[in-house]
Amino acid sequence: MLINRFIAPTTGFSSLLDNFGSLENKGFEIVVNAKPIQSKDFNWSVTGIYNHNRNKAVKIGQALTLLSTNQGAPVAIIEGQPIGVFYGAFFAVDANGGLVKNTSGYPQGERGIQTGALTYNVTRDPTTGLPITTNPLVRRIIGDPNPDYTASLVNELSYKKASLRIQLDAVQGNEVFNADWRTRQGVGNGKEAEKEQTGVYPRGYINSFYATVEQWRIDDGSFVKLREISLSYAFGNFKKIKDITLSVSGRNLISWDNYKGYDPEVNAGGQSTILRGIDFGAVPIPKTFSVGLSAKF
Amino acid sequence: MKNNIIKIVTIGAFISTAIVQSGCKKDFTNPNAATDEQVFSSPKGLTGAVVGLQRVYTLGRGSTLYNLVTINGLTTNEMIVVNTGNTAEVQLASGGTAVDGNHTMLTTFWTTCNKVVYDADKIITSAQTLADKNYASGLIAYASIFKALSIGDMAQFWEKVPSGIGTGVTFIDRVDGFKKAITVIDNALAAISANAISASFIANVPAGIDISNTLNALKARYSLFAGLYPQALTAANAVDITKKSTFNFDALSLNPLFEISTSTNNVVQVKDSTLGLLIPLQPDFADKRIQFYTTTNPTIAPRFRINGFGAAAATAFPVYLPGEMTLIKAEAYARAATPDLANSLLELEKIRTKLPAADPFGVGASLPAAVGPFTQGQLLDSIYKHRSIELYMSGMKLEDMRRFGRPNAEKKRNLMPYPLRERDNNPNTPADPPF
Repeated sequence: MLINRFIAPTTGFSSLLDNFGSLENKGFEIVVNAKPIQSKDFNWSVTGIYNHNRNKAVKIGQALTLLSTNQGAPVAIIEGQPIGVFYGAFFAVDANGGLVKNTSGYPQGERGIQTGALTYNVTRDPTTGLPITTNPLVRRIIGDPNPDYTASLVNELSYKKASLRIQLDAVQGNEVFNADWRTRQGVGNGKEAEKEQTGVYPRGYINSFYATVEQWRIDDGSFVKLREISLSYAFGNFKKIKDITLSVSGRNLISWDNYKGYDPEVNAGGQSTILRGIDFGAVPIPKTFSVGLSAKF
Repeated sequence: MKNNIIKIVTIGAFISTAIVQSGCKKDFTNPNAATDEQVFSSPKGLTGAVVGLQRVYTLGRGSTLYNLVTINGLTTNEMIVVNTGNTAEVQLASGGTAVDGNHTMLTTFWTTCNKVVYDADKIITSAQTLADKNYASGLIAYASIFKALSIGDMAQFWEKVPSGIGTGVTFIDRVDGFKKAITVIDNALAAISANAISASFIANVPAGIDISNTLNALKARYSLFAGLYPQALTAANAVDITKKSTFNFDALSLNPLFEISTSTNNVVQVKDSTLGLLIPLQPDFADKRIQFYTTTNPTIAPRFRINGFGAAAATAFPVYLPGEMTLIKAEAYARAATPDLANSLLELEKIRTKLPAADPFGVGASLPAAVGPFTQGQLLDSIYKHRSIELYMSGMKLEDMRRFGRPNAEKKRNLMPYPLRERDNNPNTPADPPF
């Protein structure tokens, strides 16, 4: 892999564009085309696409390579792990998965001794169960921008001169580093900030972990989108004008997701193959409507 | 026609064979930039490189200057964060374990310091081969200023500093770091006394830095930090305190404190008119330096704003302040093996009673004379207080707090963790301090 990796600054340089490690990719992709109904007036065809891919970085030479990003996203390449994972501090949770909170009601970052890139020993106070604050925060993989699967479903129907096309796209099981949402809470105009302002959370709640626990920025990036719906009607010929067709279409009209930001599909990392799933100041994909009339002279 | 095609195909085949055979070369020459050999072999190239050191040191949010002042200011309560969206600044203001090896400002600071040392080393070595010895001594002295500053800056924040530059470098104690900076300065002083700096060199570098006074001033500063009091006193006495030595800025190259904090009011600001000092060391109400370093905005929060050396886009930033030299003398007398309290008080009084008009930069307390006598402890407390005011936002307060034995409760961290970028790639990186 040709990657701009960090090197020790005491070499006099901060990064080296180096050819190191490899990327192992395993997966399968399925495309199904079906035409359930074919008749003189009515046609229906279905195309389904399913992609299932798993990648991992191998032979990178050292346990952990962190990449610096403009968005402050802690993107890492770790031996044997998917490429571009988010790596950082996370919340301490109790046996039931609930947040461990201190006497002020503030959630705590997990602390302890880091023994390797992916291993650590957690230290908790035996009486209170709280992380021992004199120890540093420990780190693990907190999110993975690689989806479990992506899929598309296209339905095309036509009845006499009218035709309808519906496309659904799905990306499932991926995580987004939602720095955009988190910054809104930090400057006091997000939903979490509102809870603090209205007293649902104690005063100082967000500030207590805002800067330290990167896991707070991990968001569910799974979505199913109504990518396109278009309807057209072919009027045929009128005098010397041929093939008059009127079409109405809309793109990105509905997104079914649990994402806390505007759009889980954006990426502030641009076209990078490593920096993915980072949302910070990126413009969401707009809903578009179009009406078209085409004809031949 | 057919023959031509065959020829082209044949040539094409040769070219592609040639590419295949020489493939896998990892070092490429960038055709858009001068090569190392070109830069480091001519006076012109070396001058460009040495001005580059000043650029890296002083311009923008990645500069050593912005990070030095801001990291130090937030760690020692001199400053506050205005917008908590500035993660790295917030971590410093939280302090303790919130500041970790992943801290972006510390990583930038560490990287820039080492980069400047690396380039300064190359300039100093290459300048010695130039035929024009008077031009060379200017290059050596100018590069040494930035090298000494970078080593000294690291030694103010980390318990151990790199012993040099290279792969898998070892670390030395921070006090040895200050001594290393002093050696760099001594070599530069020797170079300029052997061959006076030529006027053509001075004409080719930015105006502002008074080279020989700066070398002595930095020697005084680091000697004091290293506990070498007689040497600190001698060096401070060698500095002409009527002269200014500054990093200059203009409409294209903005003062980084103004550019990032003052102009936006969205990153950091001064704490308030106490300058972050606690009772009984708070500035006196009549102290004129408060108005020099802070200003107020009665309508838009926060009330207290940056003034002084971050006031405007073109405000020059002092490499050292004349007042620092006087305070070094006061401290060196007070801490001498046989403390000379009378002379210490004399120097301290020069700072307490200095009128703004009497200082080249306009920094003056203008306070009434104190009534003695004072014990050594009282004098040292007063020196700490006046260093904190006179040298506000100069990036030295954390070092002062340790030297004057201020409790950890007054600071957000005592020493900084090493950047993970160093630890991940250099097995000799020392263990992090607990606080």
